[in-house]
Amino acid sequence: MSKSNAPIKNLNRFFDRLSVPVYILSPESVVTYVNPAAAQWIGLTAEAIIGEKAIYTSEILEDQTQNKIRGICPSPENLTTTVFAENNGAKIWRDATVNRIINEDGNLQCLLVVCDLESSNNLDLPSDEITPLQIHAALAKLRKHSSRLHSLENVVGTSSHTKKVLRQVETAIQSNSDIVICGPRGSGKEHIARTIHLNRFPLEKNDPESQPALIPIHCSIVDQPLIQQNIKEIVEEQRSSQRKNQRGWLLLLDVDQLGESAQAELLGFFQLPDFSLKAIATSSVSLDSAAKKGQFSQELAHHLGVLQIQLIPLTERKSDIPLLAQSLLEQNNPDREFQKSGFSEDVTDLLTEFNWPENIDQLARVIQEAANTSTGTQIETTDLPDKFMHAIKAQRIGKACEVEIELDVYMASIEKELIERAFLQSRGNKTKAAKLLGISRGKLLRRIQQLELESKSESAPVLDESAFEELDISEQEEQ
Amino acid sequence: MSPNHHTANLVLCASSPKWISAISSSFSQLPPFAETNFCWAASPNLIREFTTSLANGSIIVELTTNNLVDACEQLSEFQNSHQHWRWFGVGERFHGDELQLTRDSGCIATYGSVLQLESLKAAVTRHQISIPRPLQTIEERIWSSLPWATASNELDA
Repeated sequence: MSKSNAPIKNLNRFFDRLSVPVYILSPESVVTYVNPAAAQWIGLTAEAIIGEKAIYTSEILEDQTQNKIRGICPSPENLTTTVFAENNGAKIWRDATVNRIINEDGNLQCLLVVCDLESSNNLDLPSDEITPLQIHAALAKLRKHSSRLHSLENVVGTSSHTKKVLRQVETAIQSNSDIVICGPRGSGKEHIARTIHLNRFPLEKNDPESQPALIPIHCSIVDQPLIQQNIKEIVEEQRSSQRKNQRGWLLLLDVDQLGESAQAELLGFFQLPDFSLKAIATSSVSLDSAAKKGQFSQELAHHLGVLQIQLIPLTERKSDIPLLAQSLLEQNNPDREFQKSGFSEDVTDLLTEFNWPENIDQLARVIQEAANTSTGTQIETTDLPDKFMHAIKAQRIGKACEVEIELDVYMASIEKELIERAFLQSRGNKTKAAKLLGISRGKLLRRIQQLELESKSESAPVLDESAFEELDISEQEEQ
Repeated sequence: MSPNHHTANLVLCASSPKWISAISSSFSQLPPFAETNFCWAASPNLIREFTTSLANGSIIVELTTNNLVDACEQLSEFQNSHQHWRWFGVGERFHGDELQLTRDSGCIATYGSVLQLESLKAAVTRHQISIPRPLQTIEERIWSSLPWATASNELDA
């Protein structure tokens, strides 16, 4: 031990007798002391360990001793941490407390690390390593769930558009071509892509090996180096695979979002002379028109767009909404404690009336939220999320404005709404309502008169003058 | 609204000190975003606790041979109900069926070394930027952002 550690040297005898691993590191992470329990845990003699530097890294180090003791270096910032010893190739983790010993000058003298008696069992203990069979079973379970979710029966609708899409999907299932599915955000492009793949290659006997993998690439997230790394890995893996006829397919999600260099990289992989890379792509714009505008590689657009399926916004196929909503509700019934049978007539009317700017994704979210709120068997208007109710109210106002905008009338409607809300908030107290609105009481009274809010007093008891008179009296008394 | 006004939501699910400290220090602030909401979950089972009120974000999970199956199952199920969340793996690099399991459960990419953290950071940032803002009409924006709630949820006739 170095001289700088002399003040705690007397403790060594005490530590030597402990059954918990204890060791001391210098400020530079050099091991200056290990007790026998720590040496046994690490699997080296104390003499071999003392004087070695414990490097905080998970990389494999060339020096055998340093490699063995790298895990005992605690996290630089934390005082309670986890450390490991790599004994016979297995990592044995322990929770540890790090005591920072400060000398008289206020400088760090050493780190005293005291480990727990038991090895930590919430980390990767080698004793229960996962077997290939377990991986296989997990993969089969995922594929089975995906097959159920993306069955052809789940593409529902009675509109002429949906019938056309279903015919195109059936044609795509029969073919072996690359496909591009275009449509606005949330219109179910990924669902159609997965449905085609899973019906092209159905899962046989629950065996994931019977189905070529569909490998998703999120084009809005990956850049050129990442796409290179991912696809290179896929190509190499499939080249070395025994199952040549079971090559995986790429699922290029939002391919129109791919950067220019990443497009070139992807095209390079499609042009490999000895390897045929297959893909299903989704895009929010037509790749051909994007290519014509110079926003997408012409060659890549031609390569991907052998078959094209165009999806339209939900608002252009409103007749599908009741059936689609019912299907979405029933899809989640198996996971619910209380099953939901359907929607009240009013709810169906509202769902059909709304324009759904985010398409099926938004419809699914609203149904999910409503189903979570609902206590009965049927979804009622009161179960619908506030956000949706605001949106439909706004849509109704928006419709009137589309024809003709009268700014004064429109602004007055907002002002009226705000005044009514302020009265509700202040429980009819005019002074408080005026304060909430940031205007004087007199001005509020004049605005109520100008906006003819009093005439609504019967339907809006909140502005009933007689009710407020009493409050006014009490206000005056207060003043 | 530019990305500068967004908050980036990030959940880290790691157990080894190397990844915890490297990611905590490197991801505490993602440059294009005004705020970064950074949480740490001890295991994939606990991710939902941090994400219930958040519509979108990124999850970074330390994958080991032992947690691989459980993590993939949890995250695949999680993504079915959370459309705008994406997850990334760090730690061991897998091959064959194990790699396919991560892909099938929605893992964007796995990073094996802390030296690749900049690349992970860029991917997380790109995901956060690509999250579509809710499409709202001007009327919807005005009506839904008015102060003081109305008395009921009923629509005007």
